[in-house]
Amino acid sequence: MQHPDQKYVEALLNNDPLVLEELYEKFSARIKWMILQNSGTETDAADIFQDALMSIYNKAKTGDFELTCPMEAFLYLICKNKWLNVLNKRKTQKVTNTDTEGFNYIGEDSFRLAEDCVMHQERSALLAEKLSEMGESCKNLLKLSWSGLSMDEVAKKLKVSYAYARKKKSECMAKLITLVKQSPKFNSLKW
Amino acid sequence: MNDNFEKIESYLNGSMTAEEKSRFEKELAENNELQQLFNLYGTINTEMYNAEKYSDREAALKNTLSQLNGKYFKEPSAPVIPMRQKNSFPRRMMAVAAGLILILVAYFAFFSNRNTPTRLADQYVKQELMHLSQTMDGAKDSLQQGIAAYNNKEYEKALQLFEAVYATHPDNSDALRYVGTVYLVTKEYDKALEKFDDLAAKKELFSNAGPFLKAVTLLQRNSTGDKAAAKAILEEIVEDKQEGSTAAEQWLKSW
Repeated sequence: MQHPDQKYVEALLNNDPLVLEELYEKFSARIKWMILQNSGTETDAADIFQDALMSIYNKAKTGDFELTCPMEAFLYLICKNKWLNVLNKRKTQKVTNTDTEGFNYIGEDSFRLAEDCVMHQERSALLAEKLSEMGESCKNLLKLSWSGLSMDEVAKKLKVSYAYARKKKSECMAKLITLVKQSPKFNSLKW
Repeated sequence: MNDNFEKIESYLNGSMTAEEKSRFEKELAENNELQQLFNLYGTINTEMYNAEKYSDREAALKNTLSQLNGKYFKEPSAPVIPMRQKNSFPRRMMAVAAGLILILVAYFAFFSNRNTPTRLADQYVKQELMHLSQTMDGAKDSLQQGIAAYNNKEYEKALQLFEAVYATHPDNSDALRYVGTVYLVTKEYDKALEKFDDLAAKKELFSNAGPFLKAVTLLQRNSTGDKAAAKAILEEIVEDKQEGSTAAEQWLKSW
């Protein structure tokens, strides 16, 4: 049976402002408290909270997301994970004050799902960053090929032959993959 | 190396012959490095396809979340547009100018006998629809945010908010009315008519502004046959004492 808090995941997928407002009303205060208690500001808390929701959305849109614990606990898990990453980058102290009372019902599957969400978002960010470093012709061709058009249609749009478009796509993908692999983040992300 | 990329692309594209396909699959099973490259290629393709496919929705969601962030966190990460800026001299000047324009419009409307239904509809849009009242209760805050955006003439943002509310709450007729109103003031008359038709079809409403707004839109569009269609609607509104019947009665006198 579906967890009742799955409605918040649906609200993210459907951009339902009323249910999303309920989510903020119920869960934002605890996240804010956790971040303020651990060297963060309210702006940090706002960024982490929004980022966490976007990472849930990005994972959920692939159709592979089923909440098995309360949303509050799940959000807390992701926000804590993200905040630890920020503190690591800032080289300040680690999270020490956390309030996980009542969260002992989080199962291994939820930990994995939370980790997947964060990983998925970091992968997407790295891909977007590397894509932006590429030349315009590659960027255009790749974006068109990911827009749902067939390679035949991409070729027609770019006024090139089908064989050229296909060859060019594999060259552009080779460039993108080389850039991604050269990043120090590459090995820490599951592909 | 590039040869491998070409093979992967052809395989995923379905452009290999059966023989090439089975040779490639055999190679995949035996060559670990090729297998890893194949997985990476596939992951990137899928993730970027999804990113492109959902980019509009993602932007709309970010917009909603930024607004909620502004409300629930003191120092918002994204700026929240204030509904009114206090002590803003240009704004006050604009208000004075708007007041003068209103007086002139009223003067013109009162003393001129040249009021046509089209002109009356135009005046109605300018006087009644350019500013929406914040009458919703607290629970419907997204509508209020939409109204604030609308009153700031940020029509695109307002439309996104109203459409999002209506998509998830099809019983919210206010959201539908506001969607239509955005289309009306941005002169997308065909879309406005579609929305007001949907609103008019909601028979369960005690008071329904759909038909009146449809007549206003037809008069604004003013294509062939629009004026006659608007007249028929206004007559029906008066006859059934529907919402807008007082204005409809006056407008019909000027026909």
